[in-house]
Amino acid sequence: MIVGLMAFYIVPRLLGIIIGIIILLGLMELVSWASYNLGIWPVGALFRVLEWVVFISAGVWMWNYVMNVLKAHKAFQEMKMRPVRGGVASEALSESQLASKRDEAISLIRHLQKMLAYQQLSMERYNGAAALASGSPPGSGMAVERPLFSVQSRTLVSQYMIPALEYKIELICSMKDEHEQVGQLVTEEIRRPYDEMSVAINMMLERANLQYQGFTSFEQNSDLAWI
Amino acid sequence: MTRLDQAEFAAVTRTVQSLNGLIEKVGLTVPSSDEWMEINHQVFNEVRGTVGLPPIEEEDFRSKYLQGLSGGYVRFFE
Repeated sequence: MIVGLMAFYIVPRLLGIIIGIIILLGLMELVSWASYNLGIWPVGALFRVLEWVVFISAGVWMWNYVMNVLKAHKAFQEMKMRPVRGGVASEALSESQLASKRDEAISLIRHLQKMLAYQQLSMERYNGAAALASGSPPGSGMAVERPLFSVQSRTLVSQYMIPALEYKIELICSMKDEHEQVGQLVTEEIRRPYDEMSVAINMMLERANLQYQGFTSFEQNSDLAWI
Repeated sequence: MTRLDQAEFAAVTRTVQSLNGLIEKVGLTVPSSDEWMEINHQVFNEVRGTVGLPPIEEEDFRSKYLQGLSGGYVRFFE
């Protein structure tokens, strides 16, 4: 087993390094030799010393590498051979723990899918209002893509866009509340998608507020155009 | 405004990717994807209920959802 490990794992990995070191040492020796011949003996001596430093460091590094690989291999073999402790009772416990973790993850998935459904609702309402205000067909079905449209009429903005954005902001605030309540129950192990959703909700709210500010300014200021 | 659009899009994309990772970890992907679709169906109906809309049938929901996933324009709340 060890011979196989040496032949197929350690030696091929070390071969490149050994060749590299031989080339490096050869170049250093060449510089050293040239320096001596040109009479710059301090440079020659320095390179000789450096050659030894490189040689010893490489030797120590390779020794440690081989030892670490062998140690890891031994630990792996021991782990494979170790008998499973506990028997039926602990297996049952482990299965129940697994089931409980799965339930917890599914609850979080359900919650996050619900948040995405709310997000779809807000987008559909907003896109519907935008289509009415601009006279364009409804936008694409992409999750958060803002359809390009141009609204010329302030009346249509106050009739459709501003109420749609007020609704959108209210909806996102309610999502945020619900999301924060769920957050107390989410364990560290599966928290990442939860945290990503928190960031997304904050971004949605920030954008909706900006859209609201833009449309209300447009409604109130005749010098602005909204595209 | 465009920069904020992109930031929101990126944030939602990251959320969906992370959620997909969790879904896969739990084993809700094929062959047990029905369980995942059922979860989706239930939550969409819950949200429809909050705006006074009746529940959507499972087959109808599934077909809309798959159409939406493939980039089609779909509405779940009308």
